Amino acid sequence: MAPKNKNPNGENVVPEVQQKKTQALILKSSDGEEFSISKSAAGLSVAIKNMMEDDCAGGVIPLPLVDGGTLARVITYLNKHAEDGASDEDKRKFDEEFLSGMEVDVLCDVALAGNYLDIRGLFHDVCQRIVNGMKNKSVEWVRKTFRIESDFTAEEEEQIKKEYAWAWEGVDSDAD
Amino acid sequence: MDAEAKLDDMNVVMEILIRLPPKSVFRFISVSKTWEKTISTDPFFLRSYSRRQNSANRRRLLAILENKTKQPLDPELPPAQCIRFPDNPQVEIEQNDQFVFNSSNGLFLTGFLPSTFHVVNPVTKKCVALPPPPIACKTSVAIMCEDNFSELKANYIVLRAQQSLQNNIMQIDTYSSRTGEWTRSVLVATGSFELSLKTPTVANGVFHWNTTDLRTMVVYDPNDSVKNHVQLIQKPKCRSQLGEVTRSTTDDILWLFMIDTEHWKLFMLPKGGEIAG
Repeated sequence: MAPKNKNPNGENVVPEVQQKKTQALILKSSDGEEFSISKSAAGLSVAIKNMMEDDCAGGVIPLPLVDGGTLARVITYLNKHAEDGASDEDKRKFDEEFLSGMEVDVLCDVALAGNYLDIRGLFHDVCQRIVNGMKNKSVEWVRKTFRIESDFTAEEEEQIKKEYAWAWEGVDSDAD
Repeated sequence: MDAEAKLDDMNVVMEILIRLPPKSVFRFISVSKTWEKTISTDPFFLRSYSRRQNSANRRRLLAILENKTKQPLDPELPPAQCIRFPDNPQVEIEQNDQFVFNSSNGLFLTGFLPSTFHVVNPVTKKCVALPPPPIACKTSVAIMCEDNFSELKANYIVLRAQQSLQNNIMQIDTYSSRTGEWTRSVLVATGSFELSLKTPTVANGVFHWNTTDLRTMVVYDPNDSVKNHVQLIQKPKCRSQLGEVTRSTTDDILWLFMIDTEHWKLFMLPKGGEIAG
């Protein structure tokens, strides 16, 4: 293997990866909180990467659709996944713990942020986590949790329920 | 982000819906009109969902194989299950002369002759009992389910065929899931034939019967613009005259696979053409 940290003229250089990592970037949440993040971690978000490349940001990237609490979580995730020494197994374990502590409200915020910032792995994992929690839940639970107001009349709703009666079997009670 | 609705981005909602099992998806039709519209009419959702479900079904088949070899490759896979049909307990009752007639695009046709037929959807676990046909007779019957991902509901026809006294005519009774009724019609062929009572092969929405001497195929396309017509296709002579047919989905070429003395032979028939070896 070629000697590390030397350019073709034999001069010592800082490896590109390390160089990138040391450079920081500021992400600004919808409620004005500012977070510092390495460029390599931020680059795991396709949306932020594009903004960095366009260089329209000048070091501070405003994210008007992500609140501070959610952004802090997303940054924790990005930092772990950009960590040099972290093996795939480490990351998997981290993801598991990271997501298992979240209430469904928080999961939704992270899903929306994952979609908006285009962080594929995070987005898919969070969606799967939401699915696991909701698949056996009632329609009322879904409406309440996602704050969706039904625009069906009672008759229309009854009609759907009649047509797909099999889909209403084995639904969890709303208690939990 | 704490706007009115928690999930205000339909991209995210769709990503979640695509991952839900069919039962939940059908239930959540009633969440709101937006969800109903996405689930039952959005072509992107319907395509992605059926693709994802197909691959999930492949995983399930794998699980059945694993149970046999007792060497689980992937502990995450659910074990193969015997499906129960809560709607129709009579399906579980043992019937000595109960048949599974055939399947088409994900639906099974089962029942017993002359006039008890059930259409079974293994995914929704729904079992529909068809009304008995107006005239009872023990004859060939098969289901054809439309290959249509642009609608949530499976549309199908069940077709019962019977030779008439005249040997160039057959009578068919067609049950349509759209009308919920049986209708009778008469099909005329260009020559005489003797229809085999074995279940026809259904491929690309087309029914293929054998004749009793296995020399000819009797072909009926319910979607053909020329109504009330059956096509007779001469089969090449081979050692084993039975063979099996299929059709390519894109160009509707008819393929016939037969076993001859030393080789197997594959014949093709382009739409409207002569059979070629």
